[in-house]
Amino acid sequence: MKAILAGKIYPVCAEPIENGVILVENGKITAVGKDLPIPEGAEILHMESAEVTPGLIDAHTYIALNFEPRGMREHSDQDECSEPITPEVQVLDGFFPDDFAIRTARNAGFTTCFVSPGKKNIIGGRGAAFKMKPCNDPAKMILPETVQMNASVGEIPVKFHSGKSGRPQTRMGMFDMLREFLRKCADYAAAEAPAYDRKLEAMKPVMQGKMTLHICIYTAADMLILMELLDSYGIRYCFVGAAEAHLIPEELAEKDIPCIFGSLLAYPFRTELLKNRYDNPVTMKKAGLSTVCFTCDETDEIEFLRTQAGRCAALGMPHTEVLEGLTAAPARLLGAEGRIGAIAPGMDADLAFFNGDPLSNLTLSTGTMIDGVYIPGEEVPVK
Amino acid sequence: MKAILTKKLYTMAGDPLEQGMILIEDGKIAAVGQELTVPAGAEVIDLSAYEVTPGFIDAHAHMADFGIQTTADGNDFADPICPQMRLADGIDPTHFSFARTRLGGFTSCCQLPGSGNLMGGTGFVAKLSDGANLQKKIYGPPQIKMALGENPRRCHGQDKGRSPMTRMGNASLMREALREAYEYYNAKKSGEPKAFDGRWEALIPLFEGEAVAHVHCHRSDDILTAIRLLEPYGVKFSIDHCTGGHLVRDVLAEKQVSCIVGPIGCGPQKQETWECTPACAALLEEAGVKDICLTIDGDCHVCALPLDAGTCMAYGFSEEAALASLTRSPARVLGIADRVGTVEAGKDADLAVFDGFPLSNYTLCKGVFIDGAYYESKEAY
Repeated sequence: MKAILAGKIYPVCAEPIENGVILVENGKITAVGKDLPIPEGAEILHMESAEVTPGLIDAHTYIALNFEPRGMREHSDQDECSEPITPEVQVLDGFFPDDFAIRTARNAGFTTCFVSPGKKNIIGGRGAAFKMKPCNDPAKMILPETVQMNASVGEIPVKFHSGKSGRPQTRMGMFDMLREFLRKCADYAAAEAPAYDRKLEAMKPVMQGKMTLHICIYTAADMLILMELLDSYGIRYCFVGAAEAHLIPEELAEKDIPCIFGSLLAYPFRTELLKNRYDNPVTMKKAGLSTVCFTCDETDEIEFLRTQAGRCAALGMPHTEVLEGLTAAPARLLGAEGRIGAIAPGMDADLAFFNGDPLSNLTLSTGTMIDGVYIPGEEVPVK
Repeated sequence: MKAILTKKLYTMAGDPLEQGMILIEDGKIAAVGQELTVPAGAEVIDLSAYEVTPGFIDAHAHMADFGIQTTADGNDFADPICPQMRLADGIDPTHFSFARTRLGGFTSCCQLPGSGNLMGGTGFVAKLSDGANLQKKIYGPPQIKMALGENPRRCHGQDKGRSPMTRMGNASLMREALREAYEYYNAKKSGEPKAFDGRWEALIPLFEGEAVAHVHCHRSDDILTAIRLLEPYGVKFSIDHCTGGHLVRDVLAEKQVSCIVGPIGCGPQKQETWECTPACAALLEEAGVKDICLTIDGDCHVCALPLDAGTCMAYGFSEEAALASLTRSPARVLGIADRVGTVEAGKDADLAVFDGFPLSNYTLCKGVFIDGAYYESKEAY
């Protein structure tokens, strides 16, 4: 049994608690509150000068698929781009648990990250959330309930595959391939005893509405076309990037499409990013979207994600909603809200500690707890 | 005449002034103080709810250099030694990055060619005012771009199969170029000039002590190589990026080398950035390096650089040094301190207006003054 005495606790699912206590046993939170009696024999963690949040969650990363440095192609296991549609692959098979990006994430207060295959394929394979704990076995880091299928729509798949003189060559070709593939997937999922096909088999839970399709997509036009297509099959999905969401707030809010925004500071190295706006999440939250999350996405700057998100508080998003976007909202989107994303009895003991306001750039993450194990932050995180 | 009232004025030429006032005339600062008399007929601009700093300066930017492929004019790979290339010939001054950068409180920017060449060309400092005539915005000495480390050897060696292929090749080619250019300069000075060579002409302002060489170095050993190559010539130079600078901070402090640090979040995409840490600026300050500037190496996101300065504070960089890293220090390093970098009488009326502590991520920039003209922030950043 551990008792954490904290200066301020943000349970996220409830109002913040000044000078509170969190009790932890067997990797789970057993109680949280202001004046809890501390059980005899409990190990006391003095965090009176710290502010504590649920361990932060990045809902879309490529952590541990690129043994750094990234520039070395032989080390990248991110894109199985031998063909443009590869739902049969899964990140668990490429996840390198020794990647120091895991340490960087943890040092920044992130205890869980969704890891997605890259964006070069229209359908890139199955991603999943992993705990950012020191461990040698990816199977012990993965949260099995968070497996989601990943897709990518727009300039990246078109540019990459057209460069190889294959398909797609254009956006038209990309949507044509996707339409045709989904038609086959629907037939397969509906058939009683279809001849086994590993691609179509992998897509079955998506077609049955049991697995979310996690789509990297940027322009308003692409989002509208895709919504029409996916809705016709009753597929559950969320958007990642969504640079032009602010151009179609009503359309997205009407269907309440979960969105993972980032990088908020996207460098305009693609045309589809030119209309990105920093206040995109603020606009969408105001439009009524219930699930707004944040990601550092392809920039790899996870150590700055909490303060980039924090800036949305200056742009009109309440502090609690920003914090929710880094905790409870991604937990819900990943279907793991029963385990992570809040400080409440029964949840995994995943916490992040800060030496002040958790969303301010003038504070630091000082340590994390994952599954009840406290891991101090490194003072000078030299990579 | 305009009279600006502030809540807090960071002059960067002394302690901040609570309720500081600034008088502006003809685009210049006429007076600064706490209890100035407002001249009759002066237009009073009441910013008494705002904190005001000198307009911010990014000492190393690539606005409109790269961006999307068709407009990527920042690196000309014909020759790794091309200091005669003028970045001003490849920039679209109406690019949206210039206006967007003002949203962060910036009023001047040092624009540099890329780092794919050992000597990639001559950049410039420009005001971030509106208008299509770039020449009207450029001021200060030439800013000559040089680079060591991974980029030149990759862009020429790996991609094109020619020298430089290694760091040894980098240093050898740059050493030879400097030697030849110095001979050319001395011949011209002695009245017996050699045949015209545009490359070496471009380096004359450097040997004259006017221009500044910006040397792209991430890794600590590249930093030492740059010092070894340039120090014998007594020229002005800065170590740009300097992400491994904390590992050789004693050398940088002893020689008082100008450091332009960042981006602090450059990640480990390349091996040369492995040493990067947001604690670098704080460690350099602690070691005694005086002119520490920050950069985000940015295009349209230069506006976010003040947030990085705040992050450096979280790692121990002092408030004074963090504010100086975007104002007084870059002005000194870039050779434009006679005009900008502090709020003092006689300097250009370049100011930034914030609704809170200028380096906090919760603070918004309300607008900037450039040469006395006010640009209100209209977009959300």
